Amino acid sequence: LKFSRILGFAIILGAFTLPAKSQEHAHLIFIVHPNNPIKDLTEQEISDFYFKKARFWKDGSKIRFFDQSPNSAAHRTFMQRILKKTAREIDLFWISEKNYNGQGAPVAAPSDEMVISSVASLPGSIGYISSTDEDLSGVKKVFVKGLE
Amino acid sequence: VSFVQSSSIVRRFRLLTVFLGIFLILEFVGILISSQTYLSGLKKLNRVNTFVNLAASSIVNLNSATDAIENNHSKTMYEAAETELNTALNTVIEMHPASPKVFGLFVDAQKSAKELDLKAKEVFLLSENPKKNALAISKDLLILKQYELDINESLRGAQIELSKIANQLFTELYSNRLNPVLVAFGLAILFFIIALRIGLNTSKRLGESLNYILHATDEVARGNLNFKVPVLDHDEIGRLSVAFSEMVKNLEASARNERIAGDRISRLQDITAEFSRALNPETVGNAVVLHGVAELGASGGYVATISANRETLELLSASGYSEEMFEKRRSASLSARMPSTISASTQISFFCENIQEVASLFEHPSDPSQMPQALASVPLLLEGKSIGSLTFTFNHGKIFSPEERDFVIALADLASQALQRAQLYDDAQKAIQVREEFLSIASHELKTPITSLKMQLQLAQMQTKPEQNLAPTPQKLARVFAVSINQVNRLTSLVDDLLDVSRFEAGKLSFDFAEFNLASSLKEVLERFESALAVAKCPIEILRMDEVSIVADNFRIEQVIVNLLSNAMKYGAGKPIQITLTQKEATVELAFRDQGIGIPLDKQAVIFGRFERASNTQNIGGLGLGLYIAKQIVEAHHGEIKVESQPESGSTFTLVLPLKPSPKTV
Repeated sequence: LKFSRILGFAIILGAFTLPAKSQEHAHLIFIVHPNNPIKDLTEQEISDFYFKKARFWKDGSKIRFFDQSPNSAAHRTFMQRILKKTAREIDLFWISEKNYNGQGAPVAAPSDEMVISSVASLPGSIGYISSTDEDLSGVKKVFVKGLE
Repeated sequence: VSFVQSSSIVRRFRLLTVFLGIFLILEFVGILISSQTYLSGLKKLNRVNTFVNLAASSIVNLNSATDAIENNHSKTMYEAAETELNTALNTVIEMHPASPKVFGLFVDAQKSAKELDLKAKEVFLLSENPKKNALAISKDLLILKQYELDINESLRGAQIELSKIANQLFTELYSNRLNPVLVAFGLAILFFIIALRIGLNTSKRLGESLNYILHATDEVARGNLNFKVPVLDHDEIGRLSVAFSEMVKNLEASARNERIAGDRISRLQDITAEFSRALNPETVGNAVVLHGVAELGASGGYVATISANRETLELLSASGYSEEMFEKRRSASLSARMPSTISASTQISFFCENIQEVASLFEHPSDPSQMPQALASVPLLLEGKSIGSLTFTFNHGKIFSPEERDFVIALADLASQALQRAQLYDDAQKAIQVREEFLSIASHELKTPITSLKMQLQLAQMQTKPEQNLAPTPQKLARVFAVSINQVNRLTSLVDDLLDVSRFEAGKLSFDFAEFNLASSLKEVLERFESALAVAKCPIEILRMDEVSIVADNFRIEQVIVNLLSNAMKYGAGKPIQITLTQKEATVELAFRDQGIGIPLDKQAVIFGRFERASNTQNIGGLGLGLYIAKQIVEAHHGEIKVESQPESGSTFTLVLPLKPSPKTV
């Protein structure tokens, strides 16, 4: 309950700071394994996938989230626009999760390219990239409302 | 009160023993069940801990496996770790944890471990040519990490879940750790309370019962026989209490009976003493009535005796009645319907306890207020013959106890004997009087001829003087002799009569039975008495003279005739005497009727007794033995002699003799 308040507070805080930062990183593209029938997602759904509040797709397969390394621009953008949390908040969240539920933070890929190749090879996986130049032939792009 | 065979004390102890047995079994079962429960909890906890350990070791092996891939690039190490991991996971799944969540987590982990294994093998294959496959390896490692994360998450989740379960189990076990002790302790307390209660109850009741008996014993020892011992239980002591009460009751009853009997005996003794002092029937009657009334608490009582002629019941003495009642009861016909006459005539004792029973004894029970409410009327019996009755009346209903009935009957018995004694005493007094009278008469009768004889002899003696040669004249002497002989004859006759009497008394008189003509005997006697009859101026009138022969003692029958004739002459001098001799079927009747002074009614019954004379007239001589002798003679002949008389108009003596005496008595 306490955590949800903090989360709520953070979301409100994020909403105020969002317009200024979104100007800086305009691009955030979400990709899934090509066999995945999903076409669009909401920001909340993606946040839930990341925080492992939702763990399975509708067809029952496991959701495997590919993060990017915390120093990357993509991760920062993702944090600001989707998670709407600071890095510290996220760290604390995962420490607590590990202790109480045994869940750890998603695996972080070193680059957009690695995200794409991993998502393409692992069914049920989802990831994000910041570059629009990458070849998306092996994956499937999903639309996120209010992100374009 | 009935008692069961086994006592309550024994039953209580038996119950206690059974109770102890049940308790031991319960205690054992209780401890067994609770310790079993505890043990199974421990086993469960152990199992959970095994799972926790397996999960932990799986995580360690997973880490070494990934470490072997990523950092050491050692396939051998990886395989060793991977085998360990798989073994641990398989073990857990085989053991099948009870919680479905935990089971699902382990299954997930196993599934991911297989994917990881495939990926790892791919990585090792690529690693044979690292430079060429650097990109592919890094890609695979990324995916491998993803798998590792999955396994890690599953195992850690399971670990956390199992820890929760273990914690819960431990808390449960810890909080229940005292259960077996509590069960044992609780049962023990329960048993202790019940056993204590039974024991206390038993001992209290026993003590109480015993105390009551002890107390009762003290009371009885002090003489209080009314103390009752309560019966608390139907056990030995209860039995003792009942027996004790019964004993005291009997003791009391016998003491009471003894007291009553003692009272009664002392009263009877008093009565006996009083009776022995009582010299006449009235005194006896008064004593009986007074003591009886006092003893029975009666309102009144009376003694009545049957008269000599056995026709009336005469009141002897009474107490507690009005003058009017007394007069009414003074004399009653024996055939009247009254309690006293009924009991006297029927010789039955009546004890009427209420007015209905009383009324049945009266002829006209019209006025109940005149009747007593209860009464006791018993006959006075003497040698099986009723001599009267003793009656007590009550003006309230009365229940006669057996002792009271016995007392009344005993009192009547004593009264009859005392009355007889008093009567005998009275009779003896009278007899003495009669004898004294006889002696004076006899001495007078004997003295008269002796004086006369003596005078004649002295006269002759005086006239005889031998020295002067003087003597009375022959004429004078003849007169002296005639008078003397006459006087001697008179003496002889008197002495003969006395001799006859004493012979009768001794039963030594003998009879010579022979057949003779009664008519000629009578005529002979009349001839002999011719001169005497002439002197007495009694002409004989023979009204009937049957010629009849009888078998009898001629001399004695003549004696009877002489007696009767001389009596008639003596008491009817100057009047004619009528004689009748009549023959009946088997008897003969000889009657002498004079017209003399007659015999009073009350003397008619006694004139045939010894020394009895109807008249005490001094101018008529005689010992009073004639009729007594006549009666004895006639009765010896099985005949009878009777008298009919009216005072101042003469008497008729009738002699009835059988023609032949019965052969038996001859």
